[in-house]
Amino acid sequence: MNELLNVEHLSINFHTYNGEVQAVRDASFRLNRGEVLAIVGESGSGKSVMMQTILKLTPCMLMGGRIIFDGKDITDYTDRQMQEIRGSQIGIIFQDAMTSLNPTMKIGRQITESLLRHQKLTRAEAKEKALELLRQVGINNPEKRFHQYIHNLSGGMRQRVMIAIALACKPKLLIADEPTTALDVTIQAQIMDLLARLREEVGCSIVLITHDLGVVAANADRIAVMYAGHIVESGTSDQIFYHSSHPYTRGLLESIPRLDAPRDAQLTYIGGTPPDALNPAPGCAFSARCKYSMRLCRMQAPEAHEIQPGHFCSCFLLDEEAKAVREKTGWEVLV
Amino acid sequence: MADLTKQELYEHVGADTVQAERIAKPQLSYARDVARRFFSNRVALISIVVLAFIIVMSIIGPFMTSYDYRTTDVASVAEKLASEEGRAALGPNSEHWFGVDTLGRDLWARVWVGTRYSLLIGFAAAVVQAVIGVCVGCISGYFGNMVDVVIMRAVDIMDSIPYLIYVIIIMIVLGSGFMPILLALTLTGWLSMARLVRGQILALKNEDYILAARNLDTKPVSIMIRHLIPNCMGIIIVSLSMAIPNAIFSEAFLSFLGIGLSAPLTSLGQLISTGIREMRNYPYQLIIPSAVISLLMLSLQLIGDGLRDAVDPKLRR
Amino acid sequence: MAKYIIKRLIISLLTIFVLCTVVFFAIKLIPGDPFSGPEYTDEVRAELNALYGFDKPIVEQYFVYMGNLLRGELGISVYYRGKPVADIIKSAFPQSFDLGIRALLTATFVGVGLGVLAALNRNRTLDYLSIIIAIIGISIPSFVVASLLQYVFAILFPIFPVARYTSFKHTILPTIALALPTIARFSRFMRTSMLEVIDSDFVKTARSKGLKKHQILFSHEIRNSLLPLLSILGPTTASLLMGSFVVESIFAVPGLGNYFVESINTQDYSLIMGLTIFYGIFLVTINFVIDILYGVVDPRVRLGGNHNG
Repeated sequence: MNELLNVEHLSINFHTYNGEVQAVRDASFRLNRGEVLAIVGESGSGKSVMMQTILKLTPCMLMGGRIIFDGKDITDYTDRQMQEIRGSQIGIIFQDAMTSLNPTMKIGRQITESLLRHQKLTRAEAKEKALELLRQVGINNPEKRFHQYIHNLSGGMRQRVMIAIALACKPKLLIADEPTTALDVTIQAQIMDLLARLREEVGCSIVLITHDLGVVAANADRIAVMYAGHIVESGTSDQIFYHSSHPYTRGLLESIPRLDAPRDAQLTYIGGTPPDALNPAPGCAFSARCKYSMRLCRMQAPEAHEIQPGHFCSCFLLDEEAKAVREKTGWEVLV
Repeated sequence: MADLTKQELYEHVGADTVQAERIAKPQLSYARDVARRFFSNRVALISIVVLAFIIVMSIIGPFMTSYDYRTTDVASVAEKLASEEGRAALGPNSEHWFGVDTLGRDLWARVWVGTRYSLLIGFAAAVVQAVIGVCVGCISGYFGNMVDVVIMRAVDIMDSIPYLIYVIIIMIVLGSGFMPILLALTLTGWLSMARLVRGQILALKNEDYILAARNLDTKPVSIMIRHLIPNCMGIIIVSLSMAIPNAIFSEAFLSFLGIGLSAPLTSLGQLISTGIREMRNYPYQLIIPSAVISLLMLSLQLIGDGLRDAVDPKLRR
Repeated sequence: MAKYIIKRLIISLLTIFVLCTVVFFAIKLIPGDPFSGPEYTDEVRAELNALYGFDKPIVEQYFVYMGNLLRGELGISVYYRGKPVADIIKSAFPQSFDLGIRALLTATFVGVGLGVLAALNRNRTLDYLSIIIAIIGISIPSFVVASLLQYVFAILFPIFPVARYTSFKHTILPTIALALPTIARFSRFMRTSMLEVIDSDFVKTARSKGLKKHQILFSHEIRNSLLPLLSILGPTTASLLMGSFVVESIFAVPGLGNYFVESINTQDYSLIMGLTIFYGIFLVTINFVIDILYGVVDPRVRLGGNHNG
């Protein structure tokens, strides 16, 4: 069986002082072994919450849906059951390594902690393994670093330590939650290269959460685009980049600044702001900002259609009946 | 939806700019936001009621009885002490609502007059401390460099020893009394305020609007008054509200040591330290003023907490 | 680190110097002299003044006094005729120290425990209970607490002895009375500190490693929230010291605090001076040690970074 993670119709809520926030709505995606899936969306679109809730790392509530990991239904796993999976089968890298590592604990111990938890090792063996891991993620002089604290390290180094921790027990799945956002551009490429190399070495799948389409283009096999808690479009990199079929995806792609554009050209952007997740309006979440929007879009949320094998899109514009609107607004179907 | 035809459903309407630009939460000014948070805190509101009650009683309480808080009646006490029932009659009764002390003075009047002086000392000391603290903090933070180093080292040096030790020394030198207490408390109590304000000013000093004001050659004093102090007002008020119970507590502590207010004036601390001596035989003399000071401190503390949470919701858990 | 230590050391020494000077001149400002009572004849008074060096010019007295201080001589008590202040301190310090340590340990265990429990049960009954204890402990003056404890548990229900400090049973009430404000302070501080840590990213990382609940609690959450507690240990010592004035004199513990209160009432200025300076040196030393310790324990301080995060 080639499928590692299958998420079906997942809905997630969380409480705030102001009420219930619908963080994720009816999200489905799947990830095969060895694949890199990128989840793309703007801040607050629910991509981090979704992945962290799958690991039960957030106090959010699952409102429905199913999560199948490695052939097992882990939807209703308790925290105790998840403890066996976290760290050993699924590793996660957070955005800001500075705050995500314990500032008062030596780097070495933060790595061995995970090893000792999941593998039957002596302290000496764990230390040996941790040193090996530090070497593997490209930290030189690991013996010295082992006894240091994170404030002794640079941002890139910290993220490498974070990666070493996440991969310590050779997990089947690595979730990289904006792994390069807090880093300098030059370091970003190094970290992405490191992740690509380690994927080969460890043989894990990766879910890459990001809002940076540049990172995605170079690294992802498949892409899922999220908007306001919905996965609006998903497919292979080529399908998304060259045959994007959702107005939001297209808007995102058009917003990438181009160096070859004329000097006086305006930057393209998507007007408006994301909807209020506290009490969302009926209909498609993007409809208020969508210039192709139809009356139906305001009333009913579109369902996902498989428009090409593996290419899913939730938009009424693809319907036969929308032909008139497509012609009127100049929307091209790029299939 | 059934009443619309397919054609109508698929009619182009375009982006809804009103909806798309809508900002969900109503926007409030900082002060109103703080007020809204504070007044939605039930504990703080109850505390305000309790505090208001105590303040009102400290003003009108002594007039509610015909007895004066200073007039002693040793003869009647001595007479009552002679018999068992007489001794019980010293305690709270319909004549003397809180009973009388060992010199025959009416405790009801004394408790509320004592509360009055405790409150006076608390508020006056806190306000003067705040004024000194804000001035020193502003100067130190705004001018920086040597001025800052000298002031902050001085503050460090004073702060290494609990201020009550300095207060005690000053009280020993000046003798007990209302003004000496005020002087002692204000001379030593401004340190934390100064440090707090300095920290804020340092953070604010490099904000763009301050730099703009400086470029316009605005005088430092008016920059402070117009821009810096209003921006620190939140924490100044919080710190002020915490300084009031502190000052009341300090006065009570001094009274306990026997160097607080001097007779015939009285304060809650003064009454309690007398009460401790009489505790074995006349527990009400300890319990009544203790209850009043506890309520007072509790309400002040809770109001202070409420203000702090309202001003800085991040601290709220 | 060396620079940090030297800086703290200079400030500490300056503090002690300033305190000694202030105390000396303040006491000299007091009108009248300790031998003004009618029991002294002019002749005896002159003799006593000469004996204590009070007849010399004030600046000279100051230098003599400072010189004596350096040799550890704090003068001679006026009230306890002829007894050196240093001897009084030597005999009284052990009791105060004993009481202080008991109170500090009690407060640490109870306060930290309450704070941790409160944070783990955020917005539940236990949390509110610990907040109430904290608020009461902070807002009710220690002499009220001490005298009420004495009244209820020694007079109304004679479970514990009323006063003195001779057996374990005698230590219980004073320890509780002295510890209560610190329990309140610690539990409040610990609660906030724990909540901050529980919500922090690195605890999420620890959870993402699959660590068990108790592993996270002890090696990440409590460990990291305890560190900032060191920073309030200095002020806590100071407040315990102030509390000891009250508690020792209410429970008649023959410690420094009791002597201090007594010396104020008997206007024994040389004892007041001696005790004040002793307190000053004691606190400054404690603060100095804590500062250094903090630098050792928390790696961030050494680099001059901020304490939270």
